[in-house]
Amino acid sequence: MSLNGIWELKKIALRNLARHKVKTVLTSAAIMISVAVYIFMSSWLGGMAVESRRNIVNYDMSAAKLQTKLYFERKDELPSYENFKNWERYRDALNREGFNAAPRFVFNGTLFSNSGSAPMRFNAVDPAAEKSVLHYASYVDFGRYPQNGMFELAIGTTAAEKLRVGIPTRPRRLELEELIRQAAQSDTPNEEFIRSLYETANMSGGLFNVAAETHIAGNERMALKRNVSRGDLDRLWELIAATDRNNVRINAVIDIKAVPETIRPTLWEGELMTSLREEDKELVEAAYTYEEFIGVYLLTEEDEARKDQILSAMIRAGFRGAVRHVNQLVDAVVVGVINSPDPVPNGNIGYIPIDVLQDESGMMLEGAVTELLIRRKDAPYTELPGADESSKAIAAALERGLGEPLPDYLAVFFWMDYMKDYLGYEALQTTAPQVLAALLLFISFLGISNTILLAVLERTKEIGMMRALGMTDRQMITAYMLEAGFLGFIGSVLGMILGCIVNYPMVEYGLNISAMADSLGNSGVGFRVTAIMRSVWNIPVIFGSGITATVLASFMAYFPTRRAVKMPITDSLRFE
Amino acid sequence: MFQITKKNVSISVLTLLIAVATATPAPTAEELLRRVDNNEVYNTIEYEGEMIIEHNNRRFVKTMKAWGRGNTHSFIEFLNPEDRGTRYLRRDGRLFVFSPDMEDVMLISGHMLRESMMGSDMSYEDAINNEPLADRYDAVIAGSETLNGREAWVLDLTARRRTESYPKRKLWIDKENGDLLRYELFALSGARLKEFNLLRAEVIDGRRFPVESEVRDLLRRNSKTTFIMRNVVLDKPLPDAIFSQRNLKR
Repeated sequence: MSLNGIWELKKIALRNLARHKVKTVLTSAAIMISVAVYIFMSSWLGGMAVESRRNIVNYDMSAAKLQTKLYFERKDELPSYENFKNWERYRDALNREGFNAAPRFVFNGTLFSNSGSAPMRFNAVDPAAEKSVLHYASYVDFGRYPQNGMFELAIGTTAAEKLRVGIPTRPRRLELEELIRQAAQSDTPNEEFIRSLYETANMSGGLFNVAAETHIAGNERMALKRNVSRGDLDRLWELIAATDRNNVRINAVIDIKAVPETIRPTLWEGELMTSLREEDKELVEAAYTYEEFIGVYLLTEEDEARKDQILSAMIRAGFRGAVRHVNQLVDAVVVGVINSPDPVPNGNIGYIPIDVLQDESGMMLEGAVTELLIRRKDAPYTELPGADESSKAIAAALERGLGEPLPDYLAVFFWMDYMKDYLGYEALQTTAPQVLAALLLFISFLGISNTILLAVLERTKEIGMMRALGMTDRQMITAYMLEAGFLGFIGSVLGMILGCIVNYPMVEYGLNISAMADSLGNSGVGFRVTAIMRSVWNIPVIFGSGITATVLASFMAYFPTRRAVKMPITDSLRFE
Repeated sequence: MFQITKKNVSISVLTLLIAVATATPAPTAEELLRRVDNNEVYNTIEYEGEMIIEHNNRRFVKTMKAWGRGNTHSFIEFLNPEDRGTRYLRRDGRLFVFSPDMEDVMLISGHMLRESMMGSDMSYEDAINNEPLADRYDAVIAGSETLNGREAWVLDLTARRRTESYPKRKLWIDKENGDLLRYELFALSGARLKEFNLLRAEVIDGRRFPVESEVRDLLRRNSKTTFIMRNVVLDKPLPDAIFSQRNLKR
């Protein structure tokens, strides 16, 4: 079919659209809404995914971590016994190659306050180095970030609320009165000052209507006013810090990895030999001798390198005797509460200076760290780590800086290696709504198909007449496909415009979800976002959805029209 | 005036000799510690038990039937309605639990060992760690005290290895019958974590045996757990089948 022919058919198609204005408007509107919804959903979910990834990198993970390979294998257990020393040389080598590096020792424990306890993850950090790779320290809502040399903690806002530490944001009236009694110490101006910072919380408009609770005297929910100045918050923090409200105790166990000097026969046979890999059995058996006199297997191996191999084999086998747990209780004071855009640092997490945990009054670290966080020195805040911050690139830079290969037990892990579970979850989160939007789009195409089917039925006589005058079946089908294609095109263009209009404020200003995130306990509503949900301009999706909608709409006309042209011309002309 | 005479010297020497001959020499710290370890030696044990957990003004009573062999094998089955069917098997240093809700056996290992056992003041690790104290700690006698009307030696224990779960312990041992009246467990920093008090001991088959005791986890507010043992039978032959996985799953 020549271009001239298609041009003529186009005229017919447009004339038909103009003849049936109501149908044209309604069908185009359906497509417009579907395309707009799809564009908005894709851009919004894409934005959430990008924002989440940025938050993970900027507030929790940095670009990559240097860790022992065995730590990475068991990372979900936080195996603090898989640590390494002499990390300073790796940091210096990275610094020389243009990277910042921050040491961390990560361990589990329980934090006890005067009001309760909470399971926590503790990050022992070097405050200055930490700030060079992560940005959460800029989001200390109340108080300040811990300083070296002090048993000081910064904890997430969720933990602070649960443990009733720091400034309460939504206390009951009785709790507030107790706080005033303790913090103001009968000083009237201080009492008035604290009272002036709080107001009765508005419970009716929230997600969770708990108005019934307010009927109990003293149980009314109060709220810290939103417009309290930084100066007033600092003054309130100082008043609270003078009481024992912020005094806490860290209960943790120090995991120590060591080759056991003796192993009882029951453990040897019942646990060790049954769990060791076949290739490791010989190594372990050669290192121990059964001592009948005392009835135990005695370590006889003296070579330190072989002892390390034996230890690795035992750890890999999950042998309990190779890791011992020493109970520890450390007194500390909470000096800051973190409320960052990423929900993880706001959760049950505590940050404590690493230098105070080195000896028996701390966690007996003796210079060990579980990881070095790594970020390029000039890495822009808004960009995700690229190829120059990949694990390969960083490992190569590290080896260049060291002038020798990395020890075999250490490796660099990219942030995505660490976050595989989250990324899988994110894919599910972003795909499911898009599938729903695509379903909406599909339903609107069924509408087009229906419109064309009705049009074909209505115009059966007309089709018969045009075929009698010499129009071929192919031309007939093309004319109707063009008509449907125009419907799709009009709907798509309008949908793209509408989608962009709706998307614009979400890109420029975003949606503040902090109140909702607060009410959900800072859980991040599925994504790693707690403050502003933003959308992005997803250009391929915008144009792609428009083009797809036009082509699909055109295609939907094919089957009803083909059915119509199969009818004999005489039958078509007689059709009522 | 007192005169030094031959008679007086003879009386004094005689008195001294009698005193030396009749006085019991003070035991060494190591002897006391061995005595504590040996108190808990039995071939087998079978008893009905009650665990009363009081926490935050709430009281939970758990009843159980328990069997043990040496210090390596034990089997506990809970009988109270809330926990009926929950069974623990400790064998060769491993602790398994069968939960009727999950209908499966689970090995308690790693971080789970630090969790509270059935909501009590004891952790799983406390429950399975029973190597003799004398092999793990150096002891010194810190003095003697009267505890609940009983004269007791006070022992300070310091762990020999830095890998010991509780690096310091303090023990009160009855001077007369060797009962472990009380002990306290300390963290590496020296902070007190747990305390145990003997409430009642009975003579069973000629041996003193602790049948009622109390444990407090000092990090838990208003919390204590009381253990009561009834119908204790010692050294009765027990079939191997009791300490088997099959018995756990049955």
